[in-house]
Amino acid sequence: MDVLVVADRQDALAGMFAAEVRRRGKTPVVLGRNDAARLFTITGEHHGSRVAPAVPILLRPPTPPRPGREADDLFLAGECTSTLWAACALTTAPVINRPTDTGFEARWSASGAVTERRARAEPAPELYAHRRTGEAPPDARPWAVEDSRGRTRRWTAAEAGNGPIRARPTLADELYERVVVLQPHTWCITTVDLANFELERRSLDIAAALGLAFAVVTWGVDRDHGSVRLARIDPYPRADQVLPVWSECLPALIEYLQC
Amino acid sequence: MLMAIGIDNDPTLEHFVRAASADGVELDFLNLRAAVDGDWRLPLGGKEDATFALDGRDFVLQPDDAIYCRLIDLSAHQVDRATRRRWRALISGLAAWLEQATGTVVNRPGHAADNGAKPLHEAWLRNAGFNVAPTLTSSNGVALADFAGSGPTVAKSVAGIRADTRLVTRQSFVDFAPTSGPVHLQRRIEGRDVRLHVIDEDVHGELIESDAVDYRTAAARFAPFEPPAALAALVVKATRSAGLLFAGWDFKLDREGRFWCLEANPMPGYDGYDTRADGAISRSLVARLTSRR
Repeated sequence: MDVLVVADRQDALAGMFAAEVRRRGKTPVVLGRNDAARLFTITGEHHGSRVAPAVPILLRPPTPPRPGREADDLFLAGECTSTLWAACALTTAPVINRPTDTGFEARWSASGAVTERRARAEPAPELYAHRRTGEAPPDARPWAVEDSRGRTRRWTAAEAGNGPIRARPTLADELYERVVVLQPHTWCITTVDLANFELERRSLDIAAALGLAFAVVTWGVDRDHGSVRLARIDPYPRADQVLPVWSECLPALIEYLQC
Repeated sequence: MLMAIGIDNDPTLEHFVRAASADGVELDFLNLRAAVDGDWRLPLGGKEDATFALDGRDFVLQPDDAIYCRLIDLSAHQVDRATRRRWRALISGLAAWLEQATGTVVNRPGHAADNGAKPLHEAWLRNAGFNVAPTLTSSNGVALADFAGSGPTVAKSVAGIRADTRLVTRQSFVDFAPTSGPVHLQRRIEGRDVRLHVIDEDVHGELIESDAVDYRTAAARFAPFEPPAALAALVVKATRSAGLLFAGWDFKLDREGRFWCLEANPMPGYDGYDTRADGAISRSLVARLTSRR
């Protein structure tokens, strides 16, 4: 095994990465979180910790939990996640993205405002709400709302009140620029000249402050290219997000993981 | 006004509310089991109040409130999908709101979370200067049997969830199936247990004598305990470096007088220790929460 890819079978980026590693004559092993955790033995002694095998690791998002799992299944899944978290944090081998003592996704949080605060970026407002009679946008600004199933849309009227929401203000009719970060490299997805906003440098700084080697930082840009806002930080870049720069990103991924 | 946030059937939170109220502290309690079925609004990034409507009353959290919180997510225990989602959203939103609140929060979300990954937590404890007994985390039956066969050994949960510590031997891993793992083993330290509760710079100690492997499962004798100054200073420093104002530290005190650190709990269930200490831990907590430092 030359590299361990911890991923769901449906993960397209993991599949593309593993195929390229294989094409280069190396052996990738792709496993889900539970099976991956069971590969590792972690020894803790007076002089420190040792993780075996010391294999490079690409961590991808977990498989969505199956509903109705028994208590024993939930317990074992928790034990596996904890073991994988510790193994990836303590191993001497390269890991993307290496967990930290703050969390499995380093300092990234599901809350945009908290993530921005931790990244030392200017945090924009964010609203978590649940109102049985429906919640209306807080002010006249355009807002994007995410429902409890993770579906995002423009927030134009009171929600029906059938679930909790998370919302953030946006720019009117905004466009998007994505910056793929793979420390120390960055790639913009579009060719639009936004150099005065220094999006690549800012994206690199944000990812570094969050402890993320590999991330996609999405910026909202107004129609006149007169202002930008930090829209989103993804700690698990998706294939469709990185595809336009894959030919440059892939060799850098392989170099980072030394595989 | 002091705020307490958590669930009404959590004995530790119930104890805190009772102890603080008995001391004449003005306190309000946000019961998450009621809040989850009500309305809530948690705005972040603008120093706005968080508001709740539950059980026919309105409830306001101000960013500079002093708050003792025990955020327990009950989503995994909900059968109804919509209720599960509301629990997850409420806990995520509250954790985010509390992380950016300007008042004193015990403990503010966003602190070190490595207690949920024992091998990582123990590495941190060693780096912080504590003695930690050797450990092994594995799904490899041979490695587990070898470790358990080389000396007295206990097994614990890797994730640090409440589970009794139990003695294991080489025989425990005969025919061990890797799918039963991973298992976290630690060399057993024989001796008495010591529990230290740290609230900022206050340290409250208790010595526990029991014949059981895990004193929580059997009869035990308890006595107040004054830790050596060096140990007290070390736990105060380590608690702060983990981003915590309040932590419960577990040690074994061996026959040679050495302290072996088992763990630092960032959300200690401290009620039993406090009852025996005549409320001293609660008084420290309330004093810290209301000091506005």
